[in-house]
Amino acid sequence: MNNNNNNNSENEAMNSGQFAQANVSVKKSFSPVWILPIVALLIGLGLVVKSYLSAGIMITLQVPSAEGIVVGKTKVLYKGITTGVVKDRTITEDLQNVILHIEMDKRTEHVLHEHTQFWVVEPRISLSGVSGLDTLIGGRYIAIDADENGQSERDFVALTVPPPPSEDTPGLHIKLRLNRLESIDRGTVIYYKQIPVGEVTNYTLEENDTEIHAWVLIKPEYAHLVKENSHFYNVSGIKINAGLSGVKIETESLISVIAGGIAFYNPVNKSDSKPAKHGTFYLLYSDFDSAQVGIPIVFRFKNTDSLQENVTEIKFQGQVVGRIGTFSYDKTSNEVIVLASIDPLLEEALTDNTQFWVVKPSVSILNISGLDALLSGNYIQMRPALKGKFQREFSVSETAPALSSSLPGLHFFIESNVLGSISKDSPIYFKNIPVGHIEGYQLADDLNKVQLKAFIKPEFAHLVKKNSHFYNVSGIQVTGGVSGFKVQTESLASILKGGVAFYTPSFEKSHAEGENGDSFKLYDDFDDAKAGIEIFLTFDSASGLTEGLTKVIYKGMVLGHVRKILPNKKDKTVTAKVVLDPIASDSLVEDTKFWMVRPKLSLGEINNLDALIKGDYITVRIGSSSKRKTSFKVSQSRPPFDSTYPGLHLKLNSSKLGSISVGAPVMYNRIKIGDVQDYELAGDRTNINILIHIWPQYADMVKLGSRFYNASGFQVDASLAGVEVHTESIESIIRGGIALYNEPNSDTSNNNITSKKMNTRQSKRVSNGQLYRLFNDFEAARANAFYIRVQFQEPKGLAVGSKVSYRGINVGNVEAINLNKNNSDSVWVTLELNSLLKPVLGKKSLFWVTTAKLGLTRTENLDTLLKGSYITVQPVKSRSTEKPMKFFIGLEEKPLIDKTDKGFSISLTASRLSSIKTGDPVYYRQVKVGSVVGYELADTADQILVHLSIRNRFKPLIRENSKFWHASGVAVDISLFGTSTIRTESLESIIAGGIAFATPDNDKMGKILSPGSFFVLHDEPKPEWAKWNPIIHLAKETQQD
Amino acid sequence: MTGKEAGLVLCTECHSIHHHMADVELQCSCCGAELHQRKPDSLNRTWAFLIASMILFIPANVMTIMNVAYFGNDDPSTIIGGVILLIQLGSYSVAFVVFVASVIVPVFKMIGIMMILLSLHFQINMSDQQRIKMFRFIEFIGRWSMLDIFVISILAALVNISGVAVITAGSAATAFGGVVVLTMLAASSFDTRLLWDYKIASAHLAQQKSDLSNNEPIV
Repeated sequence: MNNNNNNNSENEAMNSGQFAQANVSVKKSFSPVWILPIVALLIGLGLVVKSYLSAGIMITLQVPSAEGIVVGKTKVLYKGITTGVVKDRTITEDLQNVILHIEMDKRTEHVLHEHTQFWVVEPRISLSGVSGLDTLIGGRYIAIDADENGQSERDFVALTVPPPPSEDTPGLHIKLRLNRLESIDRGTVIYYKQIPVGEVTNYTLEENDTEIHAWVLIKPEYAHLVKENSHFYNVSGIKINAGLSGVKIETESLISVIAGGIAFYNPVNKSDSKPAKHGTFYLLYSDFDSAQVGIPIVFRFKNTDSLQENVTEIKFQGQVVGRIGTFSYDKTSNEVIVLASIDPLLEEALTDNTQFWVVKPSVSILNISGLDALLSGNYIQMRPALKGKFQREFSVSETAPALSSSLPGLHFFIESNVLGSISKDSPIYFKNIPVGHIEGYQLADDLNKVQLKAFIKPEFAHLVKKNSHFYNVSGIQVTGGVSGFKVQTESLASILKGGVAFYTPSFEKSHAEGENGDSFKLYDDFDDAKAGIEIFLTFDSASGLTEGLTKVIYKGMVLGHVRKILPNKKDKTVTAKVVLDPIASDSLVEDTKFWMVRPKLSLGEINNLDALIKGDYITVRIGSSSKRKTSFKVSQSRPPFDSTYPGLHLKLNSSKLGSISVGAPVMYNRIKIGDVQDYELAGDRTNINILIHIWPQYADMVKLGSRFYNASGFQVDASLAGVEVHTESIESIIRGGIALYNEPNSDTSNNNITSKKMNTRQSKRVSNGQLYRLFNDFEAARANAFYIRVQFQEPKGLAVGSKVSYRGINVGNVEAINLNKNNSDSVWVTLELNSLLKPVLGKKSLFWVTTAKLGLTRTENLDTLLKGSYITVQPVKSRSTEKPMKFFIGLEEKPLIDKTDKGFSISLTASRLSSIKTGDPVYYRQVKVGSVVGYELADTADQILVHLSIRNRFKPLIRENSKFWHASGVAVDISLFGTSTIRTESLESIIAGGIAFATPDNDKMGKILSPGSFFVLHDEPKPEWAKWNPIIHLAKETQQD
Repeated sequence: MTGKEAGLVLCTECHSIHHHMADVELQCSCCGAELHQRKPDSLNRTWAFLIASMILFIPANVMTIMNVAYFGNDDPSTIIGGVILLIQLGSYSVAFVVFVASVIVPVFKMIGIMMILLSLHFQINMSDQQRIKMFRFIEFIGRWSMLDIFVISILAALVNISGVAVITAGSAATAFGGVVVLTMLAASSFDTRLLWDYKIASAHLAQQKSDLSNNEPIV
């Protein structure tokens, strides 16, 4: 009901006051909008319930400091998962600690027991490692080590450090016993062969606080490395080993340098011991040396000046194998007794033959030794010997004792008059290889000689024979040459230390090998005393020879010296006594050649420049004969090789020497394969024979069909197409050179084995002394050229080198132009022609000079303007059986009659030549069917004969009654009453002229003629000739045409 | 003299005036809208919206409104926590704006509406001008309290670099949105004309009282 109505009625009633007042009840309907607050309330309640349900368990954690702990932020992480958050922090009443109120996740209730441990994780950046890096960004957090055992607990005390891994952590748990902690800390890494294999997890004071126990956890994968007898030692810090060879900084790892580290090793000889068990106790040694627990030995010293207690090391081959300990003095023997320990590995070597001595630096001009001891300190050198009685007490000598002769190797004596620069440790060389050294020296028993104790290493012992010669090689030998100065010595060390070298003349079995205790004589140098071989060289003149200086050099190697020069009165020669290195003894055979080498400077060659500086010397070419000889004749220049010398000795026949000189290279494909040995006049006294030597490795390149050509200088080929410069090598430009040309065999492209066999048979090995012709150039060689002579009256424009052309192809060139001795009017031109031309040259062959022709009507042979004039050759057609001719008469110019033309030839008779020239066309119905090949005055001189060549195809056109007329120029026919005609055969014929012909109609044409028929050449055609129109079947075009 | 007293009713849609008739549902002859002299059930609805919003205001402030996960580390913050963080960071102006929009404005709205409703309920004499000014102000500022929600939703959309920084809206954001919506509904469901109705009514009542005190009781 409406409220207003009620009110109104009430008001009315009240206003009227006349009616009883009705009870007014206002109906309150429930508005649906009130659902909203209820919903909101439910949401709110829901959130409250949810937050209550998710609310964790409040625990307290007592920490020493709340540094970095933020209320509401700092979390409790268990294996990286947030399990709680710090809600509040308060300070304990004693103000010593901070209580953190932590709300833990409800689900962690089961781990909140009394043994559960908490600790604050903070970033730890230390040298031994960086941990807790995540806290740098996320802030510190609290970690839990959960333990579900024990009673439930809500109040905890945090650990100050992360707890060590529990016993059940995988890996090997062992303990180390140590006296002082030193740099060991939690996290200190355990190394095995520098690999981190574990770490120290914790340490405690034990045993009445007298020693420290460190717990070590070895990673499971390395657990097997720890044996029951493993030795652990502290590797903290750096160990610097400074020696001459450099400075070595030794440490287990960089971390261990500062953070400390522990390493362990397993004694090698006891590697079969059992793996360690959990909880095994080990002693931690302070360093590696003490961990090694060496074998104690006793040293007896006369003098301990240079030794340091507990420091001085015992070394064997540079390795520290032990260390000396404490000193004590033995009154009875007046010796110092030093306790030392030696690596157990060397236990077997502790015999009475083992030697010890003190190594001190020693510097003198002659001897620098023990330099390493300067830096590393004096040490005791050990020379172990496996054989002998075991003992543990040794006396130490002041200097290195001589090697006991029981050691492998060769021990013997060398006797010398003086010691010279030889000293202890001077090396003994064999062919510059140090094979041993001088152990020591002493005066011989007779006090006249020095006895050197020598030792040759076992692997070289067989080099010393009873007949071996030893000689002093101390000092320097300076050799100067073009290539620079060479300081030659056996080795640099031998300059200072002196040295002894030896040679063994032969290793034949007949000579017994050197034995221990042998005695040898030491010579001053190899040629001083019988070591060298004496030979006698006979010279024509002693110029350039100096006693004691002039050397005998073989391939740059000094073999010996001229000792003495003796004049030889009998035959006015000089004989020189030369002492050669014994290694040359095998080379002194019959055909060994000696000659003088002197510097030679000329335009053509520069030779032996090295002799300018070194002085003249004698060089030798070793022969191969087996007959020995000790007296030789020395030639003044290099002798040619004997045919017995390896390689190929060939003779080249040439008309001229050109620039080829002795020593000039022989090239093949620009590779030097040999050289010119000598040259001589050939038997006919006109040609020259050049002796060349092909090196053995290239000998197979020369075949019977090979050709040689002169490759001296350079060759310029200029043509319209360009310029080509061709040379074999720079050397050949200056010295001249010869090149080898092998005709490429067409069969070689065929890989057939049989053809290869054929080739090899054809090109079988060339024997020594084979005579070849030397071609003038490559072209000639390639063409396998032959020579002819042509007589010209006046060879215009020809020069040596001018080309010979056949049908436009280069077939040779002018080799020489000489005046004819018999007929001074003419000139002999020698031509070098391709061998292909050889069979076709005969009596009728023609040669003429082609030169450029410039004319109004004809411009010919323009190419000669650039190339120069050339000779054109026209061989005879027939391959006659006549003998090849060598001499020809040349024409001054191209013959009027071209006899090479293969066309149908006819001749015309004319009263005058008019404008007809060779080459003019012959027209039939204005088609060119042939050409004028030449013309000549008839023998009777009343007529001119014009020779025509008609192409074979058009041969049937020429008939008995054919008419020929001049087609040259323009025929203008002007008639007063008729028409005027201007007539010409073709535009070309207007200028160049020509001949036309016509043949009468079929019935009147007549028969076909044989070649050589004569016709009359009319001046002009008759009108009816033009009307002839015969039908003639043309011949088939032949290929030849 | 009000329209109600004159027996008239105003169409709130097209503002045409009609004669009022009781007990029937009136419809505007002009636009067809339902006609009421006063918004129906205005006070009840206003109270309901207000109470609902006040309830939701509690979780909106207590619970997490925004969670910043920075390198995988959650950093949840409440509204006040965010303001405090901003102050700590030195962004006083931003802190002020957030504080005003997220705390002052909703609180002011709720208290303001409640005061008006209470003043009507308990006939507390307040200046009509004061009350209407307060109401207008509440309506005006109501829209600005959505600012915080906007900030959160924009940040949550923008900052979503997986693994580095992720911002997510917390459950308080929902509650706070509810608060804002509900207070706006409360304001709009309140019919301001009731202020004058109650004034007239109270004047009548005073008249009646004085009449009663002057006249003999009618029994």
